[in-house]
Amino acid sequence: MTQVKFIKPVNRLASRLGSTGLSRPSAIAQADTNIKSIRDDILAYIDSNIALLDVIVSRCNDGTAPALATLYEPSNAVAGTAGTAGLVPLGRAAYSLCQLLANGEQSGCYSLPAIKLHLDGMRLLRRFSSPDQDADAALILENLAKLIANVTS
Amino acid sequence: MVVAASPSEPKLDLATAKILVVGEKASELDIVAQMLMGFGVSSIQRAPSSEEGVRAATRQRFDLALVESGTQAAGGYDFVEGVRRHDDPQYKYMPIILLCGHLRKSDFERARDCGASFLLTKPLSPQVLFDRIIWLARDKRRFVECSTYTGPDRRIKAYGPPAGMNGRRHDDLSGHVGEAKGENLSQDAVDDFFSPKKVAL
Repeated sequence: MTQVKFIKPVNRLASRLGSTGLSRPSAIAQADTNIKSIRDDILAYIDSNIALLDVIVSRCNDGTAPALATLYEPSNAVAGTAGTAGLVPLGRAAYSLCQLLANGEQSGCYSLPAIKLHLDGMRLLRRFSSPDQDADAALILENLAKLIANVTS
Repeated sequence: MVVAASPSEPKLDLATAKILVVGEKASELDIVAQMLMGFGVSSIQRAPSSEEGVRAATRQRFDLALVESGTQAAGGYDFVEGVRRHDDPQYKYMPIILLCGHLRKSDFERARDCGASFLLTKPLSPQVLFDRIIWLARDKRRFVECSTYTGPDRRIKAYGPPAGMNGRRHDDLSGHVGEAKGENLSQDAVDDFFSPKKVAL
């Protein structure tokens, strides 16, 4: 029979909550300022990962699964950081690529054309910086979603 | 920059808190560290791998750890399991936030079962991270220890979706009650609900 113990440990963070320290708006405003100060570094990190995706895709035109599986890590890196740098649509496209690659890993069958289209979309979205381009970004994401639905159906 | 807060909002004093951030990608740790510094944290220790993270977390007491789940086999899950399996109670119950990007199906179970206090999906925003730290500071869950799991009790009481939002589960009820579809109950029927009587069947 499995022995289960229940423990009530002291929550050390609880003592940090009270009437002293930073309020939510002040803390968030300062964190936002800090993030803006490293935005160029985050963009450089995103660009290096997109470049890495390009290199891997150009090397695996034969659609070999092991090589394509290595795309997951850089696309996950973009998915996890682009939104913080204000590039939300790019992050969503990268997340969509992660989903496509995860599906490929599960089925053992990758769609190289779908991967290339995602990469094209990501390169395009990386250049979008104006709110005027929101409608175009939404259209790109909608088409990537349709593409995933077609590939997985 | 000082922004006015409502008097009822609690403040978070992390000036003397020790926080550990674990992950292989320095750029991603920079983002976490900058947010924490914005929250007033001055003592942030970084560990570039889960092994080094476990060593650091079991050598000195931290108030909180934030760990990247990573995409490799030995990712942040190993760090969480390593800390939770430690013998010394002063280290093993530390609050741990697991930071995840996209999760593959195979990662879901590990993320759920490794014993993290909270799972946070990226991209991170200061708002969400701050709110989760506050949530953890108020966390009153017990820890469960058994042969297959050590971590906070994962059983939670479902209060339904937040007001004004549709639930994600098929059996989530809407917060909107709507118009009555039948006739009102009689007063006798209402009274019966409050004073059930024994009946012979």
